[in-house]
Amino acid sequence: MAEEFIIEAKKLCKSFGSLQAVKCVDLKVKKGEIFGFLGPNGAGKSTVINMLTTMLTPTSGTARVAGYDIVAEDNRVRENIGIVPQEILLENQLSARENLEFYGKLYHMRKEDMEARIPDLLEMAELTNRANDQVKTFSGGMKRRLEIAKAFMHRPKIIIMDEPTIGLDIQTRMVIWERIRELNKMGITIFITTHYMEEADLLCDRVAIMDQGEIKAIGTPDELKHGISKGSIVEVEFTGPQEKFIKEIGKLCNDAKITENHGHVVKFTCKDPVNAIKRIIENAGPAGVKIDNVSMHEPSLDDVFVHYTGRQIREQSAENLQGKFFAKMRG
Amino acid sequence: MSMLGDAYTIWQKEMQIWAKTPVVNLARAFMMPILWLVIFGNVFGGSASNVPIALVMEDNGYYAQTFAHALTEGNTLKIAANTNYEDALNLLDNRKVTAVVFIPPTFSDEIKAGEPAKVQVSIDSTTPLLSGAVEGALARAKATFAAGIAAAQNAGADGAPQAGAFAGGMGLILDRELGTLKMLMAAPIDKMSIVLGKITSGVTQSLVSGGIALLIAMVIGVQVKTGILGIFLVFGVLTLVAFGFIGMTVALAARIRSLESFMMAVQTIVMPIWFLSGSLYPIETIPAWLKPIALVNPLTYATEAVRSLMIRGVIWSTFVFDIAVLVVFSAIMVFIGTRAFKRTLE
Ligand SMILES: Nc1ncnc2c1ncn2[C@@H]1O[C@H](COP(=O)(O)OP(=O)(O)OP(=O)(O)O)[C@@H](O)[C@H]1O
Ligand SMILES: [Mg+2]
Repeated sequence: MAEEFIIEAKKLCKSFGSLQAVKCVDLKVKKGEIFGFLGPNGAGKSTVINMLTTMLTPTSGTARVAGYDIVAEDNRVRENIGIVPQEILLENQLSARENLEFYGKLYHMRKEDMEARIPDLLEMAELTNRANDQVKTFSGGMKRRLEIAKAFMHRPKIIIMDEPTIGLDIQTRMVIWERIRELNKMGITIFITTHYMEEADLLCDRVAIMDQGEIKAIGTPDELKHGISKGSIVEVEFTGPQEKFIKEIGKLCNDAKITENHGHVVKFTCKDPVNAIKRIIENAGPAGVKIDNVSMHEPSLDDVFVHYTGRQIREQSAENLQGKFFAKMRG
Repeated sequence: MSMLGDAYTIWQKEMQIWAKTPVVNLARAFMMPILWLVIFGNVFGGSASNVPIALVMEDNGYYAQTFAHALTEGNTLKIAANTNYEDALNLLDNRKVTAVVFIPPTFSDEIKAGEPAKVQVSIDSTTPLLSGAVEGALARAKATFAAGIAAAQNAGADGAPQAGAFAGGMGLILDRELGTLKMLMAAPIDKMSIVLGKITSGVTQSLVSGGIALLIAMVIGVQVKTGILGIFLVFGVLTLVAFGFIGMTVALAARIRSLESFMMAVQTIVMPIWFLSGSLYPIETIPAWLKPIALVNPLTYATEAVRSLMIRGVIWSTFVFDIAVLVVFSAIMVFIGTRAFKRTLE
């Protein structure tokens, strides 16, 4: 049964000084699936990946990747995985082709295999006509595509990607998803971290939501969505006394569970949303509230994310980016 | 076993990158020492000119002639009289000359026998500045004589640590900044092979620049005294020097994260080592309190060894000692360098 899980982490922890970046994570990735790791900045995604790819030694706990222990058999693990790191790691002075050749040699590929493979990979990265140009002359997207193609060079069993589509435009992102799906169909297990909800939702077979070093939930996107609410999510936008009205909602349908509360916009789930909406509209007048908008939708991964982390991923990222920007400005 | 294969892969890649900017690399490795030689070669003995001396030559062999000629090079000294010992001392007493240089009859033979030859110098010490000038000029003459067209050879000998410093440590720092190191670390290879590949490619690059400097020296007309074997041995010495200094810079690179601080550290270390090695100007001329440093300076022994191979002819006992010093030095440095750097990779 062991080989059914191609990645298996048990109580995997990593601390940097007093900071517990990853708090005893248990994780199982099935052979042949596309597994997504969703979490805000600083959640510990990269740290988990760095441990699984043997770049970091865990503080405690163990993990097996492709059947090998990440500490004791690190070189066997490396042979069996392809890595697309969060930052681009290419030799800028070398050409695209030379980069692939160098990588192939590092993975002990035979010359014939390399020669047979490189044209395909260049094709895949859409760099065939730039094959002999130095990588430093490439755009960010071109570098990314090469970086991803590179990870397939030695035909690994697993490809581990740390935010492979970050900063790419939506077209390029979709092309890369397509490539990832193709490879997955060839039997390669894909482990991917992402900030993008749609990436997790549309691409991944299963998703883990990570926040503050912990995995908050694991499942297929559908399981996760239904996990937070059997029914739909109701969103009410209103003007009037906020706290009072929100309490009112709780009374109107006693199984209502507020998932988001932005003052004048409230989201909640309950068993009978249609009835809830009806009663809210009826009671708005007496409560001194004017309803501006009411809607109802199936739960999305966004909702799941908010449910488990109490934050919206986009806000969080935007804030963080801004923070980084200002930190830079301050020097 | 595959560790060496992996090191070779990394070596190959480094050389590939290096070969992409050959002009820059060669110029850097080779121009620097020459530049410094031109600047500093004239520091000593330049304060007075045409100081009169009396020359007493009891040997008229080739080496004595050459030495006498070298004395007046640079116009610091002027041979006011070429006479016998007694007359010369008279001239000195009468302040007609500032010094007497006495070349004993055994001078050429001693040099031929590969022994350190002696000249006797009497200096009128009542005019300290001038006698200082004489001493300086004498030392310089000795140096010129001993070193022949030293510039080119020195460039060869000094190119090694210079090029090495850049190729070794800086590459690693850049790699860390650019993330290349991370790519290597993710590959199924031994960490040792990374350091090894880096060090050996640095050494190779040093040897190429050293070789070119040597080639130019030979084109200028320098003859390698010890022939083909000597050339091989020169490369042996350069290899040891390069391993030693690259090991040193790799150790530094393990400690220092930023490129700027690293460059500063390298300059701070390499410059004095270089100045106090007898390669720019002879050990004899450096202040006494600095001499102990010159004596523990591995580059002193490298310079000494290369010079003996190329110009003076080898005194084997000294040569073997020089080599032993260099072997110990580079072994220690490579050991420290690899250990320190391997640790930062973990
Ligand atoms: N080498 C390190 N030394 C100290 N702290 C670290 C180190 N690497 C990561 N951390 C910390 O560990 C936490 C998790 O970081 P990690 O890079 O795993 O987050 P992430 O989920 O990948 O975030 P992002 O989406 O921004 O890439 C952060 O608080 C980070 O500051
Ligand atoms: Mg990350």
